[in-house]
Amino acid sequence: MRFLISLSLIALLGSCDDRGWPKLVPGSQVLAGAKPEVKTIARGETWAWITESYPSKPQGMSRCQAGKEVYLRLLEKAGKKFQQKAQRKIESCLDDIELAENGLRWDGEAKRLTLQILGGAKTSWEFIESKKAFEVK
Amino acid sequence: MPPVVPAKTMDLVGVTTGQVFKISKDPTWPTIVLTTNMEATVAHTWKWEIKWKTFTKSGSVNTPGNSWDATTTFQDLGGDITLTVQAGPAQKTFTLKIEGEQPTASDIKAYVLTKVGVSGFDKLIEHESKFKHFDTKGYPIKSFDNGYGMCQLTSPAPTYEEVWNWKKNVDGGVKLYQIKQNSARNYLSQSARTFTDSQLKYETICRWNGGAYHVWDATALAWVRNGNILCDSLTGNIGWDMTEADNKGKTEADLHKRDARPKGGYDKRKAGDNWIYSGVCYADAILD
Repeated sequence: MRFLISLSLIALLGSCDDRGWPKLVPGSQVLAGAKPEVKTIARGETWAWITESYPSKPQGMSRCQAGKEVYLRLLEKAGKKFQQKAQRKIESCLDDIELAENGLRWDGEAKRLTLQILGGAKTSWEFIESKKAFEVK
Repeated sequence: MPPVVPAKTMDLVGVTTGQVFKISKDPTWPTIVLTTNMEATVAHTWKWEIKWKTFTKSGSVNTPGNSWDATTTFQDLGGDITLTVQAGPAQKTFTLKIEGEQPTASDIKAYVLTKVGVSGFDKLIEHESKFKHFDTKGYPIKSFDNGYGMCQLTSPAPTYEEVWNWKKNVDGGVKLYQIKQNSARNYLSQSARTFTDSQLKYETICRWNGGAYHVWDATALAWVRNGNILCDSLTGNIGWDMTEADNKGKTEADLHKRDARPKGGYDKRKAGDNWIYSGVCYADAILD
């Protein structure tokens, strides 16, 4: 079953970083004021897959003081600006979400990103040239 | 003309206003039976409120006579009680207190051991709160970030009962710890790999603080401690990722001197700092 990946259009349009990428609003589980560590997983002319990693908001008894909250994001160009087309939390100390071993893989030839959460189902997104967009496979 | 008889002033019998009732170490809640000096057959209304910090509960009880056994009403609660008693035209407000007694470490450990999936949790409580549930005034300890009781419950927000009853407080911590132990088990058993009880304990405590403790050694076909983390043994959970260029080849002493404050301790971590909070170091500090 195919469906477009516009799963969660929660980007704050108009609020962009210095690359022109829309900023993520990470929520209350993230340490207040923390800046994200951004990694580019794959990038094309009109799109980018990135991860943003934030320190978790520490809880009592040092729970998650060294933890991370990591978001996977797909950004696509719409006109001159990038828009967020999808976002998913892929690691979380507070929500107990974790990647499986090699759980985030980019296949450059197939233009396919595969995500495997530990204990969860595998999800793949593939770039469809005719639509110039990613779809869940 | 008959003489004017002044209305009888209401008072409690056997209990003085401001009286402190103590929760025992077990913990057993105190028996609180309240009786007024009014006629035994006169109906009474007992409006009560118990309050501590942001926690509050209140209610009202009607009794056919002048006595009310309030023990179950205040079960698992503590702090300041305000009681307004009405009997006919007579009414009076009293205050009472419920305070706690510190449980013993051995009782807490024994209670933790009655739970499943908690291997290592007693060490964690000992490390974090030294098994202390009440302060010297008999009130539950509260951390700077509103963590209550010996398990410093913050999120999910604890109930009034979880704050005052140390067993319920431990139950709240156990629930969170069991989630981490399940995650640790899932991680260590992926691809049908095997692990020891000790590895499960280290993995769980590491994850409590954040991140994985073990990495898979494909040559030895075994889980091993993440060798890329060097810990500052003078701290609880600070270390260095030795794969980072700025840390490579340096000793613990070199890195401590570079990153710690001259008088000890570390400043609040900023982006770009070379040291990290590490669950690996946290587990080592607690279990080694």
